[in-house]
Amino acid sequence: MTALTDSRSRRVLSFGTERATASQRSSETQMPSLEPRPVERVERGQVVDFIKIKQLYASPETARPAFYRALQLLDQAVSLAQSANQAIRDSDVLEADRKMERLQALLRPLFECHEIGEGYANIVNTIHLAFAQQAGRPLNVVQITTILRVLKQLSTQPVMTFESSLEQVRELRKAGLQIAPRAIELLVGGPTEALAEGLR
Amino acid sequence: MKQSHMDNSKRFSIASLSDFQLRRVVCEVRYEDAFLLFDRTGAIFHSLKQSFTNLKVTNATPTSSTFESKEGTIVVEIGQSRLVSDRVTDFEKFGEACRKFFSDITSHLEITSFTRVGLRLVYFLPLPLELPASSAVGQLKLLALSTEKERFKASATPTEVLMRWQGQSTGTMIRLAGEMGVLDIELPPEVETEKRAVRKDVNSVILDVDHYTVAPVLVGQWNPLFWIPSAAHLIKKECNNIFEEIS
Repeated sequence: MTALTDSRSRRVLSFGTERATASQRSSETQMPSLEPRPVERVERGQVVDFIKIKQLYASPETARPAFYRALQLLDQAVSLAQSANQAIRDSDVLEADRKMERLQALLRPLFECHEIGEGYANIVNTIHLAFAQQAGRPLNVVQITTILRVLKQLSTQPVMTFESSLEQVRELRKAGLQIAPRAIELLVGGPTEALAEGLR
Repeated sequence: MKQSHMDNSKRFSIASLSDFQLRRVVCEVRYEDAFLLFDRTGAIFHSLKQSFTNLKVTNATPTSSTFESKEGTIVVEIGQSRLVSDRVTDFEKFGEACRKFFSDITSHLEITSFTRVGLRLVYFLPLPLELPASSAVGQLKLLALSTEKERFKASATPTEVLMRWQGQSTGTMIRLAGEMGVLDIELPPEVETEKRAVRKDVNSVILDVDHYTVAPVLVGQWNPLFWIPSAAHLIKKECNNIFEEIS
């Protein structure tokens, strides 16, 4: 049976189906993958790479200013999350927290570009709420890695639909991030699936 | 004509893309065969009716449907869809119409990725009758071939030039051709005009540019509202560079 090992996603891809080996499954639960869901597909046993966003929009400065600005800000946010992720893996919790605080400061300007799409706005808003609910407590390695992965996914697909963004929101919730305001949770009697799907 | 098209050596040249007039804009996406089209053409039409003015069905078959609207002609097929407009003055407005159209298509046909996304711009440059368009194209220094001798017992200069640049992510094809002929229109007797027939000489250089993606594109990556102005800007910039080099 022909199988292709995809190093980026650490998954074995074979004839259009994907399965994780037992060792990979156990490693995924301990330490989440750094990479977003692979931007590729399997076609007749061949891995096909999708176009990069910077190649697709050859001159984004000519598109809407919000779009161009969002792409720049997302690059900065991913870079900060990567640094934080590296720092926390090197047990430098303070440096990781400092980088994530700088990332938090980017969320407002990122949200100002919400005209890009509902999916984009939902993800940025959810990360903002997650930071707010932390109330200054530092994020752990799983949470930082998940935020990094979600931001990478968003920088790859900035115009994703609201429905596609719900998957990212669920990932953030699974990482233990509280994504709904405490007052709302109290009103509905605890976290619900509806709240887990972000707030429009 | 905005510019004089004869340089000092009495050779036809093009100063920039702004010499041309935009005749047609086409935005097209291709995807893996979407068999849901068999069930959802009606739903697509009703969704589009919310966004497009005076939408009418002009052709409907199981694998292909064509709708006409003020914003342009909409074609939905099993493996591709496109919006064609002959009156684009603002790429952002056209991009907005495309965003509405392709958003409906992707949701109804459950498309997650495109195999190709393309923007085709067709420009034309009317020329005076004393400068035949076919010979004008041949006078452009697009090829290093001598124009002294006749080739293929047809003509000394090419009457149509096609060029393609293709990388791993995107590609662009340019076609320059002369369009010549006579347009005869005979009006029916019911039309009470002084003239029963209208005759128009056509003598133009056509510039047909097709900019497209080679690598597949995820639906979450592509928004025509942002992509079309960006692609149109790239086309304009690169065409102007070419015209500057050959002038």
